[in-house]
Amino acid sequence: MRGPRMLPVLFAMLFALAACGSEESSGEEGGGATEPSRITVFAAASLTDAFGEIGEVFSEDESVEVEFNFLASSDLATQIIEGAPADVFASADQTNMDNVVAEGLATDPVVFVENRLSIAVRQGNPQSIATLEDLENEDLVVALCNEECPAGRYSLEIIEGAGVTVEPDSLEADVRGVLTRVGLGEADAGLVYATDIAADPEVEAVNIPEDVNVIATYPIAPIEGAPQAASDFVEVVLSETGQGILIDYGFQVP
Amino acid sequence: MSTLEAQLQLTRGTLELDAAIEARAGETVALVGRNGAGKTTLLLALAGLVALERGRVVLDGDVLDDPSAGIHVVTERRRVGLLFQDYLLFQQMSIVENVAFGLKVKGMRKRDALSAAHVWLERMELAPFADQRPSSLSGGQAQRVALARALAADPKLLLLDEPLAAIDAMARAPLRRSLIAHLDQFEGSRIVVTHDPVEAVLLGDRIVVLEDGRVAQTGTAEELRSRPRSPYVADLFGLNLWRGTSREGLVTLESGLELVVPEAPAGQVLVSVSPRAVALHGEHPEGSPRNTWEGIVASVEPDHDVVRVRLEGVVAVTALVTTAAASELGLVRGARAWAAIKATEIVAYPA
Amino acid sequence: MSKALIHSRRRSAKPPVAIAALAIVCVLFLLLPLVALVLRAPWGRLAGELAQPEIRSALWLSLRVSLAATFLSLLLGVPLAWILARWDFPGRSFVRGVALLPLVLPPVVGGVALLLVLGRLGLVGGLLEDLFGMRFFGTTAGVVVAETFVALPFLVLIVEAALRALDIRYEDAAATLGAGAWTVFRRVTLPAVLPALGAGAVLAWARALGEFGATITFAGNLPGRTQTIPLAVYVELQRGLDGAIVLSLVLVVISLTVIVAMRDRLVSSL
Repeated sequence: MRGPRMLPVLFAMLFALAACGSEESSGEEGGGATEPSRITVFAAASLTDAFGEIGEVFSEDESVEVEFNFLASSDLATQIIEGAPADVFASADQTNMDNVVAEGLATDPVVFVENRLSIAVRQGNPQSIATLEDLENEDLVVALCNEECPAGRYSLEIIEGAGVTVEPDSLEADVRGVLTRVGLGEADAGLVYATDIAADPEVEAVNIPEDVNVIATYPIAPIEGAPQAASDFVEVVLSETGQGILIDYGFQVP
Repeated sequence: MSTLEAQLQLTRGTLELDAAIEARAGETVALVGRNGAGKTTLLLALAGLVALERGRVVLDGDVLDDPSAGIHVVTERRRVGLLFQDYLLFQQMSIVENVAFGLKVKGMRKRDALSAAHVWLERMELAPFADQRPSSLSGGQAQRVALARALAADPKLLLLDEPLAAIDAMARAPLRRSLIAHLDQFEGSRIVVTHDPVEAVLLGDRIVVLEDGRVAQTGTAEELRSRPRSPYVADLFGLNLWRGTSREGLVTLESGLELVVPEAPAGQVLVSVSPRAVALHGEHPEGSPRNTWEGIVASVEPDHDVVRVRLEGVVAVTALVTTAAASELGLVRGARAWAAIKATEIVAYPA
Repeated sequence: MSKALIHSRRRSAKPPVAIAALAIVCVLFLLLPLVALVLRAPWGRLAGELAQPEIRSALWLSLRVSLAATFLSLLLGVPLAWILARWDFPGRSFVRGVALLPLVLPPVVGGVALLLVLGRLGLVGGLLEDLFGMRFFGTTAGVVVAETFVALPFLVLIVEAALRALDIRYEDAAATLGAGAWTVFRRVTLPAVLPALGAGAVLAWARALGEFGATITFAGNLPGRTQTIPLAVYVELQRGLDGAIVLSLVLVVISLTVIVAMRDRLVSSL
């Protein structure tokens, strides 16, 4: 085909591509005026299972689809600040929520659930790990969450608080990553949320004494400019149904 | 003594090679034939680069190839040098390194190999080019380097595949002379493939003619010239060749023409006539001519002071006449002429 | 020899408008992200960021590991390329497919697959740990393995193509001069494919340098031991864009320098 005749074909192709793209984005407007058919919830990785169930309940009741983005809270906060289209933010710690609030993207977050940490080991505890001190053993492969994610900060708090020196062999991007490592057998132990262990059959928990454990508080808030459905979702999370689901998954109610 | 005795049978693509060839030490065998006759394949088989299906290759008493006995000596152990048509000088090495290659491979120390290579280059009058790359050489120079490289490796048998084919016409004669000189100094046996009859005659002590994978004729140049057995061989020497049946001095050619040849043996014969022996006349010769017929001039080729005339009639014949005679007779394409041959100039021999 | 046949006219002719227009779009598409990086970079804090020990350790680690991976790719890839190019064996196409698989496999998937084989509970990994106490997760060796996995196909692809393009008769000539297979390879074949080898090595190195998914999945993430530059960028991203941009720019500068330094040699030897 010669030059001039190719251009219309090219433009047609471009339009077709653009049209495909735009189908996806309808319904994600954070405009607020019309009720959308879908909302997007950014939630900490440890909330994956619990929120999944809450999302189903919410969709049935309100007939609004819920799309989730589960990542480390720090990743989510960065994305939200850079303009990602979130309607609700549920963080695993105050710090990341504070960052988002500071940018004026959320107001009045509410703590909706608490979590504690535990040592995760493979089912059957083949290395017979019993205490935090056991993790000092250099022969053990230990995985932790990196400093940026809440679980990582909590882990460091616990370790320092117990006066123990642990040299991790890998710093995972989020808490699920730590869990996977232990489950796969690559890591002998990792520090994760108690809720995560309950959900994973490949691992079992070794308890951390209350006096050195930290209480992770999870705040939740709708994002500025999000539709009413976002606030509705927060309400469901805070309701008896929502709290009940969260308890089922091992969280603690504040 | 590096005598070669080989019987080679193999199929390669559409070519079915079934040939026997011999070469004695100090002897150069010229292997001639048309393109596709199997000359290169034969060389490759002798070098071990193409597998034999049946046959036997013996060099200097050592069996190099015998499929029936499961023997196949690999190329690198055969001591067979091969000069490829396009020389194949290693582009990443200098000239002297190319020539030294065969020596270094045998384990000679680098310094010794290079100085030996230098000696070879001097023999080829290429010493100044020692450190240059092959790409900077002319065709003739590259050929000499390739020859030096092959000879330096001390082969027992040297095979040359159309060594002068890539050389332009002007440089050919002097290069041919130097090639002959170098080959003469080589003590082993050699086989030179060529399609140029002049080369074959000049280079070869003996000529082997390959046609369609088979040996059509072998012998010295003289033997081939006096008794060509196939149109191709006749063409090589520019001879006329016909087939016929002979009875009591009368040969009836396939085309029907009758020739009087008193000395002809009875039975199926080949008839060979040199172009110089064919006289051309503008009209039917006087007297009671025998061996005369009429024809139309098909082509006229000037060649220095003679003219090669192709006359087509009951048989096609090539005649060689002087330029003066040609113009006198008005020999141009389409002209009519009569050919006449003296009986004594006709050679007939059993087919 | 065929270069003489190329008309010089082809090199100086102006390209047709449509082609030039599309080419410009292409350049913009590739250039603008780079420009954005440069514009958004915190130039004031650049020196400070670069001086940080984690950044320097990531840089040093990346360079060491990518070079090791390139070396391994050469060691393993060249013989495979040779066999694929020269030996017609049953299943050759399949083997070639396997060799090129990492090119189309998502790197994370590659990392998972490596875990299944070389992980502590993997097919071979378990044995390695029991017999030699050898382990890959959390070790620099693990990074080398992951990077080699993704870089190898480039080398195999380019070198096999170059070997195929060689005139095999040069090797025949070497044989007639008495050279055995290994000598032929060393002194005739290898020198002839050296340019392609170089190009393949550079591409493999660049690929190894930029690898993320397989590395983080297989070897994990630990500053100084497994946190290469791409991983460091990912981690920095959780803190905010600035540090990530600085690191990204470092990688871009290194890669661009190498590619520009090679100029036409990279493409002409492919």
